[in-house]
Amino acid sequence: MNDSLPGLREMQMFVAVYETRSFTAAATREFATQSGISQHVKQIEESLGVQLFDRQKGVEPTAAGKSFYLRCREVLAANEKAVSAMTTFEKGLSGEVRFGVTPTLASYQLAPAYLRLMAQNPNASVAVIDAPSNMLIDMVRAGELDFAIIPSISELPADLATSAFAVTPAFLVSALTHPCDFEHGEVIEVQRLAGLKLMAPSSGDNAQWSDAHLDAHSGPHPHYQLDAVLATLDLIRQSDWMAILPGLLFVHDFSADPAERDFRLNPLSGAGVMQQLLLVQSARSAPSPLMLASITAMQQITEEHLQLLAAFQSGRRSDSAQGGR
Amino acid sequence: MMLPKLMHIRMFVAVYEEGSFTIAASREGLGQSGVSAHVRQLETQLGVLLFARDRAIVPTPAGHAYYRQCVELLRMHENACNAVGHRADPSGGTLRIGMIPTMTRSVFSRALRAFEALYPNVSVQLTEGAGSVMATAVRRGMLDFAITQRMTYEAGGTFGLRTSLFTRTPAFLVSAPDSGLPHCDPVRLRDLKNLHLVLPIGRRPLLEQYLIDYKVQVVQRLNYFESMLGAMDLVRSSHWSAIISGLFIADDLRRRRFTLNPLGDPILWDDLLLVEASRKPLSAIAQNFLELLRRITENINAIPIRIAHGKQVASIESLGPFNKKLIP
Repeated sequence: MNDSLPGLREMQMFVAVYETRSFTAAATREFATQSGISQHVKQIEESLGVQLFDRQKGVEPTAAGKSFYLRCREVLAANEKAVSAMTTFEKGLSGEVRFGVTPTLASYQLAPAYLRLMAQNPNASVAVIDAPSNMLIDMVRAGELDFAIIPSISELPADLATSAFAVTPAFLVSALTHPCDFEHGEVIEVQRLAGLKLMAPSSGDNAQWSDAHLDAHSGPHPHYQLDAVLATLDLIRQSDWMAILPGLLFVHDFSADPAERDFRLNPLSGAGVMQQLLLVQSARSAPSPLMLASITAMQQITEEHLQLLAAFQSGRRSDSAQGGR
Repeated sequence: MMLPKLMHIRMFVAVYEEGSFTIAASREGLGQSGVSAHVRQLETQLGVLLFARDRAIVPTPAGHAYYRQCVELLRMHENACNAVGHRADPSGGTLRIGMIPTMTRSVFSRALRAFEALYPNVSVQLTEGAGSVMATAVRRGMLDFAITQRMTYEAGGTFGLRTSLFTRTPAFLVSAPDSGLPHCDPVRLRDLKNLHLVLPIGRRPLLEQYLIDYKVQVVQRLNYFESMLGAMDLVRSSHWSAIISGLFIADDLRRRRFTLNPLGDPILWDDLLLVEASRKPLSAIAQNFLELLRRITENINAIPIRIAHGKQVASIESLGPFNKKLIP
């Protein structure tokens, strides 16, 4: 039943006849033959059971013809809208990619990377998640994620392909109101942490930091170990607890103006504390172009942010070398 | 301007809504290879991928955007063709309707008799069944519309459907004539100490939530008894009771073959939905039938509603047949 209804091309031909009031002019406009045009119009009339033109009076539309014309214009406009809506999706890669990141990268790197990826590949389907590294590894293993970026861990999953992703410096993080006399940006000797309330590195993701010398300097306080970025930051903000955390969590906290910052950040002296991030993916399947593009987007943003971190560290160091502010 | 074939657009919409080339093929009456070829041609013409095919049939962002536009396009096309000629004439044709039992026990036949008097040349096909089955049939184009209960759709289940509130009817506890409850008085379920309840699957989410929210103790549940008629028969002759929509038992209020008590404090409202296909406007005939159905439903529903609000109905027996004044 539907198959016999006029299609879009037939409607467009009818519209041409209606507007030009001439089968000849319509044929020219539509790059068709006059007999083709009149045949199509006749087909519409037959399939709907209605007279669209009064042929006694030349090419004069009937009342039904006028009503049908207005609706055909709507249909053709809807088609034009549908087709032109597709132009925004033409560029870039199509396909699906699903990836996960450690919460460290979720605060400031994931969203800009996602936006950049979608801007470059508007027709790609991208799913992202942040989760603890053991969950991310399981998801990559189960094929639920194409890749994940995790902090380096002591036992690498042997069945997955792992490679270096980035190395991020860590900072001593404290509340703006913390009573210590460290100035924002000042390089701190590890020895000066003695007696301060330093939170323990979280058990899983930051275990590589549990260097003996750091533990030794956190005083005789209760032992707090939070595997939760938001809770950790909130506790620091509201108390005199400090923590050593990856700088990528604080790319918006470099400003010298305390009004623009949430935290006081201090690089640690010497080689500093570094955290390595790893890329984990299936060892079996070859990465798709979209997956490679996703990795690149994450890498670019992370790299840009690491440069900001480096500039902050070196800028502050030269400041303090010149006697500080 | 590029003019894709309507057939291609329909195929694309079918694949998008059904999530399967096979089901889309049978819905549009084509072989499966035909469907994927149609979709591929459309993708080539538009210059974008509409589905990511690597895992399952998942629409791309372009696919989602194009689908929304195509649904509008198909509605407008259908409207254009319905506006003139024989399709504009509502005096003939066939109407295919799906309904859950709530609507078929007391309402439908009255609506049909009224409709018959007005449109003697229109054929009407009624399908009765579970709401989810009816909704799928609407999406597949086998029904013009359906009246269903409010559904907890599976993910993606609402693709291709427009739903709107059709009516709200109060729920009643239905028990045997000798159950001892005062007929037509509102009943607070949590006060009942010996409740043996039949819970049909379509209503279970709604009912279970009510039972939890108002701390109703159910001594025994009958969970896999999926027959309304069977349930009514069971209730009539045993200690089992059921919670049934007012519209379903409207005729029984004066017949006394059951004890009927509206759930009170609070009333449990059972929402019925009108389910249409997104891509198709209702035909003129369907709209006319629906308007009639609405009027008759409201009329029949008025009495259960009054009873649910605890209003005294002077004499249930004196209400007489509901339909007399509705037949034109």
